[in-house]
Amino acid sequence: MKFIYTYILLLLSLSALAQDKKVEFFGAGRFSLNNSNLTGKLIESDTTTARKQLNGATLFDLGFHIRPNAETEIKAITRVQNDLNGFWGAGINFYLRELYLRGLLLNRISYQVGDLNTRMTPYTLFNQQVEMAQGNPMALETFREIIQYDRFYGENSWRQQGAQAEMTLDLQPIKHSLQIKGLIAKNRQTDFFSKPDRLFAGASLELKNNYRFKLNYDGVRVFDIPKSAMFSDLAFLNIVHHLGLSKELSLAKNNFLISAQAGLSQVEYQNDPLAPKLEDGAFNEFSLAWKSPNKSWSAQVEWRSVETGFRSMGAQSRSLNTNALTSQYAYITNRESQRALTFAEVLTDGAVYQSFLNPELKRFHPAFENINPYGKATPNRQGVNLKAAWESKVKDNASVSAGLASMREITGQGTTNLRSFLEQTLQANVKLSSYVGMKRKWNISLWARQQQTKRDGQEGIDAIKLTSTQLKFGTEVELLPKLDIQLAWLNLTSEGNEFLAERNSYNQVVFFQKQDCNLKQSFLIGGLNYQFSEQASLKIQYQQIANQQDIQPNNAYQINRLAILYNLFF
Amino acid sequence: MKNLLMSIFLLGILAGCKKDSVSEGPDLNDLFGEFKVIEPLRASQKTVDFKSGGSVEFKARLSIRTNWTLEVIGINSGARKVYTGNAKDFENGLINWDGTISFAPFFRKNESAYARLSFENYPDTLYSDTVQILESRPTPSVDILIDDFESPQRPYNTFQEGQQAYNSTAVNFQGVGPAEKTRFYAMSGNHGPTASLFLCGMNLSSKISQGTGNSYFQFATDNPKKLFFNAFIYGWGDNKAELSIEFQEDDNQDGTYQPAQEGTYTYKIPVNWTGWKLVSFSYDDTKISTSGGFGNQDRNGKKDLDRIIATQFLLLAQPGTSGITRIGLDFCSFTYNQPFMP
Repeated sequence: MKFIYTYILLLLSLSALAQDKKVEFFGAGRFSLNNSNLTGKLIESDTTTARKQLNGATLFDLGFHIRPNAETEIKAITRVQNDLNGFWGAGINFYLRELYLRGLLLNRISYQVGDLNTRMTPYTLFNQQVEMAQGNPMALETFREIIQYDRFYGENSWRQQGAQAEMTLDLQPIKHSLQIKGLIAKNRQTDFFSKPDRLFAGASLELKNNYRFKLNYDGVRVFDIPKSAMFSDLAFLNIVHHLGLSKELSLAKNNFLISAQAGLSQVEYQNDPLAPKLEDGAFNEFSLAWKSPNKSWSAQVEWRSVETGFRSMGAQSRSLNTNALTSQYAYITNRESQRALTFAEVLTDGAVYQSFLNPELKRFHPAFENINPYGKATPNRQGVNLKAAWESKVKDNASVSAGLASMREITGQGTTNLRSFLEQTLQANVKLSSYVGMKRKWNISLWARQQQTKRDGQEGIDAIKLTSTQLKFGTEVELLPKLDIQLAWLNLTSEGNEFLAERNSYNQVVFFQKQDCNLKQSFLIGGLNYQFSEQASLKIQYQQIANQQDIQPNNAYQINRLAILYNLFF
Repeated sequence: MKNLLMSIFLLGILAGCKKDSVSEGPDLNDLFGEFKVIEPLRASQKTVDFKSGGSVEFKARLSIRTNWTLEVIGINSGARKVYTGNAKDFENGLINWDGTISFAPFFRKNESAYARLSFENYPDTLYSDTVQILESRPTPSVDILIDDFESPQRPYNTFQEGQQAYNSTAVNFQGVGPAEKTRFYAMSGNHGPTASLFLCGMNLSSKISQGTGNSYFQFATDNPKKLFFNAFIYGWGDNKAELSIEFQEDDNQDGTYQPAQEGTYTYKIPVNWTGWKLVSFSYDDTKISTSGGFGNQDRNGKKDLDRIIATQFLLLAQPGTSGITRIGLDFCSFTYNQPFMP
């Protein structure tokens, strides 16, 4: 009782503060329910997996912006979550989700301590989010937003704890401005025995002038703290330097951006007698982008080369954990084998994502992404990317883009023959209602991508031929004001063979797992979306996930799901 | 513009001038090529004196890297040392046998031993010539003996599911004798496919184990990584048994273990072999018990070596099996820094 009085008193005090705009409230609310049914060839032999699964959760985030003075701001978000099975409060989780303090020092230096959303460049610190990130239909957009929000991915950022500061110097004599940023974050907690504390430090310098010239340096250093684990002297060190140059030009009203990036990396496992001597790695990237005078047309050509030894923990950590357990039907067959991820889970299930930076090059699924599994920082790649895009003059009415990438390895894996990669993408978004004169909204989107991987060699020994094709089609039609019908169909096929590299703790390849691939996955969605406001929506969907594997045809299955999702940000 | 182009040129030189190595990882020909024996299995010498620190190296050469198992077998004793690995060249001391065992009993003086090399993916089996053991390896001592089961009158706390269990010391059980000395501990039980996975168990307090009046084991370290549990475990090769070795911690040190409030740390071993296998693991490898209400809540949330009040052994049935299953247990001990290597 005493606690309740205190709590009410605290809320009243905060309300009083809120009236002075010293405190602002914000937050999010969500209700999700998934009622699924497992069917297909699998259940003829699988007598143990429950056919029906029902799960979900209700959660509420309450956030405070507290401004004790003009130069200081505190942000705190608490979360109350109750899983659907948490009857009578037994399953309630209550925790602090985010806390930081930020402000301005000497009217010049902005700083933040506590939780940080950190991002630098795609080669130093960047949450790449490569799988399935592009061309998703609107029917899936809320699911993706939730994953981004829950995991703090933001705009390709990684959530860390520490401190960061930023300031800009106006260098009048040379007519340039210099922006300086620094951050230090705790990356790993010691176990006091064998794992020392690990810190992540980063610095950025950006020199700009009025002639649209930019020179930037970004550097990160990941290092262990000696003596924080008393039974081990082992220390990990990863240093990355990144130097970039760019210049914007205008020629006959055409806009050009010329850019060049280059950098080096170094990795050491200090005091470890078993550690190999690892070579330093480097990368370079050159690009030329063009925009037509009316900005309807654009094109880009990019050359990228990332050496095999290039290691950047901040940029090569993967957010998707392909070994993670799915929220539903995590185990199948009478052997209770872990169910492999389908791309439906990649798009809708937050449980298969993780939030920590780690020094290992984690496994990836070649059918989902085989060319750039670690984003731009993928080691052992070089080649050319071409992109062209057109956009209607009336914004968002229609857009079409196409891409072509031709990459290859720099170093063979297990052979001197090199893999070569070819990727073709096509994307189109059209507001059909604008062209057929409908008053109500009717949008369609199409995205298609094919990745081909080839390696010459002896059949059964080192030859590779893998073709993976993704198709995503979506449409939404406004039935009544704020009420849309949303349909989507996504399809993934992957045929051929690959060799999956297995790495030791030093990221050296120690084995190859042969993988024959004949995968067909589809994801069909049909449902209603009621958009209360820009930040609040209710989705009721029927989802059908079909997974066929010709390698194990008896394990083909289909998950039919009723999904209800109410999501609100305020 | 001129400066910009110059800068880009310099960046290119900075980053693009180093050549990478030709290939990374093991050669795919070595992994997936045709399997052939290039050089047969052979021992580095015909006789060996383990007492004075001698050892025998076994060498062979294959055309590809593959998963192999090499067993050194005592012709008279039946003692076995087992090595497993993945390699194509057995050179440079890859297998250097120093007279230790993986399966009891011990190798004997003046006994001959031979090596047998088999492969997971190929039917071929290679044999070496025999090696005569002039002197066997002296048995090292353990740091703390939990029990060698030589005293049948010891007050073991036993419990079982159903009536068809055997749960006691034995001189001979189902035609099997001890791994060392004269007695061992046998656990046996019958189960149906839907019966409880638990068959029978035995709990031995640290006070009885030590016989010194101390309620807890007196270790020279508090570091779980540096303490190893060791035991000989007999498997009948039925692939039905699982042994759960559990350490009960009296977290509040009141002299009584309260299973609902105090932690039990367990290590589970599926017993899928035939013979007396020497099993070792560090205390750090144990996990908090997952049996609801039986040691799955640790009051202070950490492993405390100085509060282990009892060691418990549970015979469990592997899921999906039925019928009688059994295991033998002998010479349970703790060693510091490294496993027991007789």
